[in-house]
This record gives sequence, structure tokens and C-alpha cells, in this order.
Amino acid sequence: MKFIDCRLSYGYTVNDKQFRPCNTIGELIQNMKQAGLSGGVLYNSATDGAGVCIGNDLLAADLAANRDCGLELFGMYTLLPSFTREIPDPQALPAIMQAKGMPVLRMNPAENRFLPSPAVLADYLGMAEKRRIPVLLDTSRGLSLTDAEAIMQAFPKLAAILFFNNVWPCDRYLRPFLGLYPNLVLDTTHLIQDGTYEETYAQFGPGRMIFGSGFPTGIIATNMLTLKFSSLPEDEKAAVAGQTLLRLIKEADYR
Amino acid sequence: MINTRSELASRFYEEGKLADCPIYDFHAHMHEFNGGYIPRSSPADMAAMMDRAGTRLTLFCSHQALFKSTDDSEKANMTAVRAFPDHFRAYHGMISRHTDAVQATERIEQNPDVYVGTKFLCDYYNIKLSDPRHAPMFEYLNRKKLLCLMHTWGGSPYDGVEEVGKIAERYPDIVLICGHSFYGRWDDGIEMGLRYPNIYFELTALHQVRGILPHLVSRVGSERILFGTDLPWFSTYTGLGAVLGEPIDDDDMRNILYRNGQKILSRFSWFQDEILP
Repeated sequence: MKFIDCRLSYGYTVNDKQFRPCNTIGELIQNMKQAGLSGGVLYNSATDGAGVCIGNDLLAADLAANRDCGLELFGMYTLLPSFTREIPDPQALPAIMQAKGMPVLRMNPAENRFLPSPAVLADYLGMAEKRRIPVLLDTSRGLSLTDAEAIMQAFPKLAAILFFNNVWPCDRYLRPFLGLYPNLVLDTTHLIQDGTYEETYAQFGPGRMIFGSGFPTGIIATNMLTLKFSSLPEDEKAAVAGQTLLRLIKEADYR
Repeated sequence: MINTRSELASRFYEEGKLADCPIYDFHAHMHEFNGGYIPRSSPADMAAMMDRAGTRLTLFCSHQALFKSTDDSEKANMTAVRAFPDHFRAYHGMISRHTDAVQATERIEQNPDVYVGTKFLCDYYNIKLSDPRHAPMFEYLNRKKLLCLMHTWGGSPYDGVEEVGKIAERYPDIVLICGHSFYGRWDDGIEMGLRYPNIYFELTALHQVRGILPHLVSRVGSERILFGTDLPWFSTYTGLGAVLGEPIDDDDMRNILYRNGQKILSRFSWFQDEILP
């Protein structure tokens, strides 16, 4: 089973929010290999500190420098609202994302200080919805579940990857997202109740969950046994482990 | 997979459970919970999860014994243990505002095949561990050298570092199992554990904070750490994956997964498991 982690990061931190930070891409790659990953989607946390443009550029350079590391590395491009014109406009961005090897969009409205409303982000999210470019909706980065729901209501066909930062049993919150929004998938980091994978698959069909860990805050290996020894069909296990994520990236239009 | 530096991790990944590495789970619940849908929370479902992962015994306290809805809140614990005596033992729930501590000690005394001690959830009840109404229970547990599982959240005024310290000071013969290991105030909790040898660090919820387990191992030693999952809140495999995925030795993993548990459970006459190396 090829595991590809949908949510990784690295970069220097200046506070104590991460108990054990991962400062460099080299360190991240080492940890990924040690955990047996085949690849992952990552961002440089400089976007949350020094600046979004700096973080995006550092990530692009690191991805280029580590193209032959033996892992499939994909980057996340960090968004800002277009009104301050700090990042490429929505028409130009997809080709830039593809050129830089950064096929997934993310945002951090808390650290980067903007309103994550559908109206404020309409141009980028509309573009992403139309082109099926995956967008990470990460509630650990200043996006509430209510914000995520508002975004999905406005862009119901968005190829969204939803991570809900809550370890309690959360099916009551999350199953509506799966039921209402057909192109949304769940990051499995906190889908950790016994039976959740099986019931989600039975209710919503294949391709609705993707493996994630949130390293370096989370432990990459945490849910590998859960998936491997679940009673999902083998092709769905492979899908959760990495195939669905690869399909999302492949199906997007970056031209 | 999981951890290429660990033979134990590789074997678990290949086989799912290991006869030479059973698991003893010191922190679990059971049955429906108000705060979320749990797919597999019945005793039978939990026993099935245990069998898949090689969990030899789970110590639990049912949600019904922690959140009072009837006069007989312990019925759920007793029924489950008696239905699955090879899988479960229970902590008596200490619902601070409702449970009569003296009556609770009598029930534990009269049902030694069911109970290993008591579970405290003070953060949910807004009553301190050191509250006088709990004293008869702590005195009993201390006298009998039984187990006490406490939800310990580092900064909590009810069951945080300072409150646990008071209990550890007064009752040195209780096996104090600190659920969630003083979550968030890791080093203060470690200091408390270094001061009081009857404090054990339990791992539920630590799977979401990479690096804490190796830190605990290096500071207090793996002999003072107990495996727990909050099953059915979290799958056994989640807790196991988090242990196997951290950079600690296989020897430390075995201490955590079964050796420490077997040592503690050996005080009970019903515990007849083969003691493994």
C-alpha cells in the first residue's frame, strides 16, 4: 500500500506551538522515509511566519532541489485575498502552481489575517472549483467549520480536502459535508473511531477519505494500522492511502 | 512502514497483532456518548477491536457510569465485565455530585471480579480531586493498593498538576494513572511524576502531539508509562500506531504496551496471564 500524506509541513518556528518542530525539508523527507511514506503534500510554514510570498517561494525552491529524493512531493500554494495583489491573479495562478509543483491550495486566515468568506475569496475559489484544483480547508489554521461550510455552500463542487481539527467523534459534523458536497474528501488525521472508515465508505462510497497526519504536530504513522487492518475493500484501502489524492491532483486543470 | 527503525513496528504492520506483544489498555469507555456518534461502542464491538489488535485486557468506565442518568449508574460497568470477563475490568465511576464514596467502596469490595479501582472525571464535574467528598474513596483505594484513573488536564484547577500532587502526597499506595498525562503542562507533570513514584503517565490523546512520548520516556522512563486509548473514542490501532511511530526503542514500547501493565495487574488474584519477557 502506497501511503501519500495529504498534510505535512516544515519550517522554522518562533513559538512553542509545535512540541517537536521540523525545520527543514531534509528533516521532513527523512521522517517521511522513516515512516514508510511514498510521498506527501506539504507547505513551508514560513507562510505563517515570515510571509506568504516568502513561504511559497521557499517551498518552490525546496521542491525543485529535492526532485530526486525518492518520494513524490507535492506543494501547497498558500492563498491570500486578491484585493492586496500580493500573489498572482486567479487567471495566472494555475500555470504557476503547476510549474512550481504546487498543485494544492491552502490558506491560513488566522496568521495571515483576512476574512475567509466566500465573497472575499470568490475569484480564487471560483477558479479552483471550475478547474477542480484541490483546496485544503484546514480548521487548525483559522478556518472554522462554519467558514468551511459557507465556502462549500458557495462553491458546492469545490474539490475540497477538509481537515477538522478535533479529535472527538465528529461524524455528526463531518458526514453532512460528505453528503452535501460530492467533490469534498476528508483528511483522515482525526477520523480515528473504530468503524469510521467502514461506515463512511458504506454510506458515501469510494474515494471520500484521504490519508493525512499533520506532521510535524501529528505522528505520520498514527493511522497506518487503522487503515491496513480495516475491513475496507483492498482497492478502497489503496484509495485512502494515496490513490484518491493522486487522482484529485491528476484531474485538476492547471493550463 | 510505520517506523523503519523498529522491528516491533514492522511486525505489527505485517501481522496486525503479535502473540509476544499483547496490549493492556488502561483507559477506555463504553456505550453511547452525548458528544458524538461512536460507531462501535458496545461491549461486543469493543471486544472485537481488542481481538483484532491483540489487546489482552481493557480497563474501562462506561459513559453511563460517568454521566448519571439513572440511580444505578454502575449497572453498565458490571454487566459488561460479567458478559466479557476475559476482555474487561472496570473502574467504578466517581460522579462527584452524585456518587456516595462510601457506598462506592462497598461495591468495589463486594465485586472484586469486576473492579480494579475508580475513575475520576473532575474536569467535567467542576469539582476538585482534593474535595473532601472524595476522601473516603481515596482512603479505601490507598488501603487496598488499587488503581485510580484520573482525567488529568495540565492547566485544570480540578484535575491538573497541583490537584494530582495533593492526592499523590496523601495517598502513596494508590496506583495513580494520570489519563492524558497532564495534557499541555508536560514538564510540570513530569516533575510531579519524578516526585511521586506512584504516578503513572497514560497515553490517551498524546497521539496528536508528536514528540511527547519520547520526551516522557527520556525524563521519567518507559516503566512509568501505561498504554491507553479512550476506546471506543479512538481506535486501538490509532493508539498503537502512535506508539510504534515514535522514535523510542522496541524495549520501551514493550514496557508501555504490556510489561508495565502486567506488573500492575499482578496485584489482582484473578490476573493469571503468562508474564512475558
